[in-house]
Amino acid sequence: MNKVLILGYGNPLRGDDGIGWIAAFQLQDCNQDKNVIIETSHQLTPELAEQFSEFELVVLIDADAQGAPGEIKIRTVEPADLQLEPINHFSTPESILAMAKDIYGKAPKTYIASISGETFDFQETLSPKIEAQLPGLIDSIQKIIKNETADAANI
Amino acid sequence: MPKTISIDPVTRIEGHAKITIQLDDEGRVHDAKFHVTQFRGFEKLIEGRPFTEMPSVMARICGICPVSHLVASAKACDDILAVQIPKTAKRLRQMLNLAQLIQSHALNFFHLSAPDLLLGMDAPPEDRNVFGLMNANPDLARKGIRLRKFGQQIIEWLGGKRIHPAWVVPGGVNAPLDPKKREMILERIPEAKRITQEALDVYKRIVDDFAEETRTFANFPSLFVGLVNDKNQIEHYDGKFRVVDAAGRIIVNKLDDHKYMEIIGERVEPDSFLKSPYYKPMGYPNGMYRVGPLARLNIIDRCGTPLADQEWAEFRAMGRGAVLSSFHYHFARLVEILYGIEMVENILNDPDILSKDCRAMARVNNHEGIGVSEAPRGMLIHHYKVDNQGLMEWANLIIATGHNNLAMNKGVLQVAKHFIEGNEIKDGALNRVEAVIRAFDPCLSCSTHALGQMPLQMELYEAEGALLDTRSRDA
Repeated sequence: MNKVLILGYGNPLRGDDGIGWIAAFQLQDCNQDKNVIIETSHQLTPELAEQFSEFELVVLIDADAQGAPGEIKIRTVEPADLQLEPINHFSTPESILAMAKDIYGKAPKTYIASISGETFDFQETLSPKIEAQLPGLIDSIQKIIKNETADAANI
Repeated sequence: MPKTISIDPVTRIEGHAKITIQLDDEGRVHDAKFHVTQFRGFEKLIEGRPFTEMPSVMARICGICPVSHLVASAKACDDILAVQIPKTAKRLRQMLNLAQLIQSHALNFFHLSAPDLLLGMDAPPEDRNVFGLMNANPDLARKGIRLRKFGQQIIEWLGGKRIHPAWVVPGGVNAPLDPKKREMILERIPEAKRITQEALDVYKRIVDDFAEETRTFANFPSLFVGLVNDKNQIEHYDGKFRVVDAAGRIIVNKLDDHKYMEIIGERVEPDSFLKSPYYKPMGYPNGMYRVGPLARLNIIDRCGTPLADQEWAEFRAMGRGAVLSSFHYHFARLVEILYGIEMVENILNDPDILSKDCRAMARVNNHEGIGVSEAPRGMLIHHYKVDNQGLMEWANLIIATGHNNLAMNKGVLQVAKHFIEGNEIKDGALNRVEAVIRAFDPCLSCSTHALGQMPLQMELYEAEGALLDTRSRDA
């Protein structure tokens, strides 16, 4: 199958912002496919552009500060050639894809799987509403990979 | 009518902040302030936790410079254990800290500041970003990523992962250096040196185009504070305090880092969550000082590596005493990257670097520990107190961005006075107010993030607080 990168990102010390890490660890526990690489990161940074360009499919897992707590959202991301929002020390998924495309010649098909968070306070656990939705998020990610790859991945 | 202009948030710095500029009745800048509106609370968060957790917890303060907190925290924990860590562990921590410096400085220069420097302060905001840079100079953008990746890979190879490695522990490091990793790092050093030297050439070609900015970007007398080693060379991991004045005179030399409170006081201002440290003997706010790359190159007798020393000589030639313009933080950052690469090479060629003796074990032997190191943005101080069981009772953190708070505020005022006139605020003036902040590369925190845009907004208030006007630079 094609190479897949799953990247959970956020801050696991800030409550529901850690959803990306927790989901990534759970996916790692059941991942038996060497073509599926699962990583975690505090935030998106420019050098990820090169790494993204080496994959056919990227699935980002993140918390969403908008929306009703627990709401699962799946959306595709396109490269944003002109990033009008400011660039902090972190980058947006769109800008990383644009860098991958412009500098390394390839932007993979990319999804963001997110859950709207409820609390971003100092804590290492998810809020109950978000935790209850974790299986649904994992299932959604597994379906994306199954649908987007040539043969079913054992994940 | 007196007015206040608020730039909120400041762009291309880390964390959340805003700038307010107060105009007088004639539309001239009367005052300017840099506010940090984000509260972190790590010093309270850790109360009651085992001190052994501190390196891992404190590293979460920042997603860009976690290694700096890791190193300072581990040093404070070494102090609580009352151990002298093995030489190999010290060298490995030193290399990790330098890798952090390389990647962080590369991010600032190539991705945050290069759009200003290469496209110009007056370029349209839709062009003056990393994508504009990619269009104008794709090779430089690519090299910037390569250089940053070099630093990140060292961190990943040493610590097991790019961000928040758990490899540095109280007493040393928890695993020796893998010989294969040593070779992998060494192989990449020539390219990293080459990219940095090319960036220095680029900077030297364009710096004369920014004479006005050089003259007005936080260009004033101040003290400079940092660490030096026993040869008075640049030192990022260990060392003792040195303070020099604007004329380059040494006013404090080789002060033990455990005595930091003798010279550094802290003041809290009501309009910002960022504390304002000052040099105690001169009082507040006269004891304003700067830290970070500019300060480190101002306080030393030399860097201590051949290529960096050549560049340092050029740097010092720009000032009669200390180099005062904060615009030259950019130059200093590049010199430090070069130094970092050379030092990584030196460390890897140390015959003991593959030694397996890299951790000292002990229990709590001191109830207080202090760890000081140089983070990319300047001196970082972690100070802990623990009980008999090693549970944290108290912590004080003085971070690099805090040290520069007074100078950043003064710099904003200087730039605003020079570039803002009347009621019309042009983009170029706004850019420069932000750019002087970016020259310091403040890292206010990286603790949360959210999907979506963070547009630049400028708000105009009358003296009584009513909003008169809002400008936005979003899509």
